[in-house]
Amino acid sequence: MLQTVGKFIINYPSIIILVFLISLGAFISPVFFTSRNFVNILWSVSVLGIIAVGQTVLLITGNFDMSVAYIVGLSGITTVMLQINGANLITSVAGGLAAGVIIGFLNGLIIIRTNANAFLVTLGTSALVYSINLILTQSKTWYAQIDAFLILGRGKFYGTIHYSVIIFLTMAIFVQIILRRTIFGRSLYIIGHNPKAAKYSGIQVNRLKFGVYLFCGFCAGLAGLVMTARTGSTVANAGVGLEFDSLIVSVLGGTSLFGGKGGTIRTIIGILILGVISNLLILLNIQYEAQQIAKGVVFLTVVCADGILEKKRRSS
Amino acid sequence: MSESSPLLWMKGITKVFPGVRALYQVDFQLEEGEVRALVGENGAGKSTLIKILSGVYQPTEGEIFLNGKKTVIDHPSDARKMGIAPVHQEVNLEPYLSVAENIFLDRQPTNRFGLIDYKKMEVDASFWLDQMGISINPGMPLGMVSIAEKQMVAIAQAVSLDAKIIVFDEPTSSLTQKEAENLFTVIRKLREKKIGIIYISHRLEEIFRICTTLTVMRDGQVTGNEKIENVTTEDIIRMMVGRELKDMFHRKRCYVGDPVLEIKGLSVKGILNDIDLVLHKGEILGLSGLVGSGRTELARAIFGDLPYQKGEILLNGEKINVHHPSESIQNGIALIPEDRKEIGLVLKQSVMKNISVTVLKKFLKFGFVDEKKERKFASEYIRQLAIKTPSPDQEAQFLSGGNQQRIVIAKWLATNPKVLIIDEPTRGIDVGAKSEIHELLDQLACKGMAILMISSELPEILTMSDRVAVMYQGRICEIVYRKDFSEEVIVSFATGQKIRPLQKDVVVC
Repeated sequence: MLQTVGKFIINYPSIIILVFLISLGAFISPVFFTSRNFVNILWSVSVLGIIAVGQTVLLITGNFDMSVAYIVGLSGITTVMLQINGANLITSVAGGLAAGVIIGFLNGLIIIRTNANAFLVTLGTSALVYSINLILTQSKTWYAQIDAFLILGRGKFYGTIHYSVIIFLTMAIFVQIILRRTIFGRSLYIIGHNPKAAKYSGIQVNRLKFGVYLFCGFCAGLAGLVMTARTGSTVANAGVGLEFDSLIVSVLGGTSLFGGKGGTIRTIIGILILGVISNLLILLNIQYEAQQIAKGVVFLTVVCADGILEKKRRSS
Repeated sequence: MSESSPLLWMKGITKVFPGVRALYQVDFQLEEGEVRALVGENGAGKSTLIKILSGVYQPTEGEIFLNGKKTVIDHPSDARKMGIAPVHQEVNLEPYLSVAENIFLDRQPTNRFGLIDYKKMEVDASFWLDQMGISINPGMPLGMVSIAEKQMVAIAQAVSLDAKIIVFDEPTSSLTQKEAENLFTVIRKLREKKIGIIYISHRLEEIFRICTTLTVMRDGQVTGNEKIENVTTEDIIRMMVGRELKDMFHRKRCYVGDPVLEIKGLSVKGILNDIDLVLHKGEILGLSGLVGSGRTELARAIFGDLPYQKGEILLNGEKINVHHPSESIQNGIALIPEDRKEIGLVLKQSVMKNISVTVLKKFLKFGFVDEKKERKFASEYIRQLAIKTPSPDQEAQFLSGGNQQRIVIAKWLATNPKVLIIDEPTRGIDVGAKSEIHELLDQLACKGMAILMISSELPEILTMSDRVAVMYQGRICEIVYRKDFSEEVIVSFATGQKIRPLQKDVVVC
């Protein structure tokens, strides 16, 4: 019995953290345990969540995308610029999404063709995308022109929860089903464990990896749209920091940085943990600097724990 | 035997891991200049015993005496200081450093400025290599030398460290016949130096050639200590498995039919040269040759993992073009690779997922994998191939070598292949499981599968093959027919001592 519990904790430690944090929150703040606050928490993490869905899938294959943060900026800027130049809603949104997919395409192409380190390649594209953002915006803030577009970020489904939350949760659940139940998804795990064995089992490793980079670019692009629609405006560095956050929440949920293990439902848990922590820090009126410290500590803890657990799984 | 105490005496060693007793009351002795074979099936406790000797594990009970003195070996570095040197299966050396640097790792000679004196180091390295009769350029980066030479470097390192006991763990598993001969010569030299040698191997014929004494283990206990001249292969096998085994495996040899796979003029730049080969229905064609002769590369080219520049591959008389293993699967070609753990399997995935990976399409229902069907299918193969696993969900890494190999075989049989290429079918697999895999291959051939079997083990090649294609430097230098089978003939072609223009390939079975 004790062993089953122990095994459960090793496999799903994140749920316990979440339950603990929620109980802690209910205990220390009267405002915390209200439906309004929960809706707010979900809304605040939905942009990150959409990115993290793409990032999680990449992590499962043993890959990374550090350029998602500036893709968020690029897609927002593209959409707003298109609107300013008279494009309609659909064209401008499609343009923003396309921008994300193009960067994903670039990342995938470079990594597969050159076999270079994914982490560093995407850091490189990240710098390039940022400079494109700076050039396009001339380092100024630009405003969205079409009111209907703002619904994507601010609108609520029959006044209950935000559309962006619904998009995030639907994507996470949908992707989880694809990961677990389709040949495509199953193949991604094999690639993450052992790309060579995957190839020798007849899996088109490069093709699938490429597809996942496209998907991650698409997610980041979509997140950029949601973020822009929420604030109604955009700047060159709109998404800064989201690349690290998307890694934190994925790993926090239990997706491994070593590939082959994880899922997007886990990522929802990871996201909620991060959301609850920052919500509590705000409710407790803790300064921004301290919030950053908390984030840093969480990030390090999670990455170390992932390393230690990986070692345990290996030796067990 | 002298009256003085033995070089090594491990007395009453018991080792308990959580839930498992790996060793129980093991007594193990080694004299100076003795070459003691340590044999036993996988899981018999050989590696645990060696790990205790080399300081990786501590015994739960028991004592170790070196030259009669009670000793505690706390750490691998202790073992090294005491002169115990393991030469591992996968040699742990630095590929980017030179041979000399590897020999003098962390004790390089320095000049008066405290900098490494490379000249002296290379001279010293040559000294030790020469002593062993090994000819390797000490300045060469280790990554550029062959596996056999790496092993020699590890031996030179041990000798230069004044080792008293050297442990060889499956030293010949990646060596060709000729390289193994070299190793045996070196081992004889080590004996002259009064070094005690522990020799772990699954290859019994080797043990008879090189060892003086023998210790057999089974289920964590010693089941026999014998002088080598007093035992036969059957004795050893009986002590290992506790049951009589019928000699080596005898093939049924059924009907050999029409050509299935024809290879014409296949060339890969710098690796394969104008390969012609025909593989028939129901036939096991052995592919022999030294490591590096192009055997594995030929398999990869047929499987679509290695692009070829010239030549063609015909399957049932039709030309096929394979650029990726996924296309080979559709064509009915399967490859069971040599490196089971890294390429054949996904160790961290379940037995079920490993078996079903090649045929997931079969279980699709509205685009989703039906796990019930998948489980049923995998369980059927687990039963058919007698894979010993507590459940289909057990991760493959926890199974023994023989069972892992069966998973890989199952995974490919599931695709219903016409052509099965199997590279080193029984490497690192214990004797009992070995003949079971041989039997399985025989059955498959009888059912009409065309099998191309690559192997470095001559007995395996000779007992299993209908014909043997021998490769030398990227060419097929000879096809040997059953009536001409002998180790000498194959070795002489494989080592390039005998080259004959290739006669046209005809079947006589």
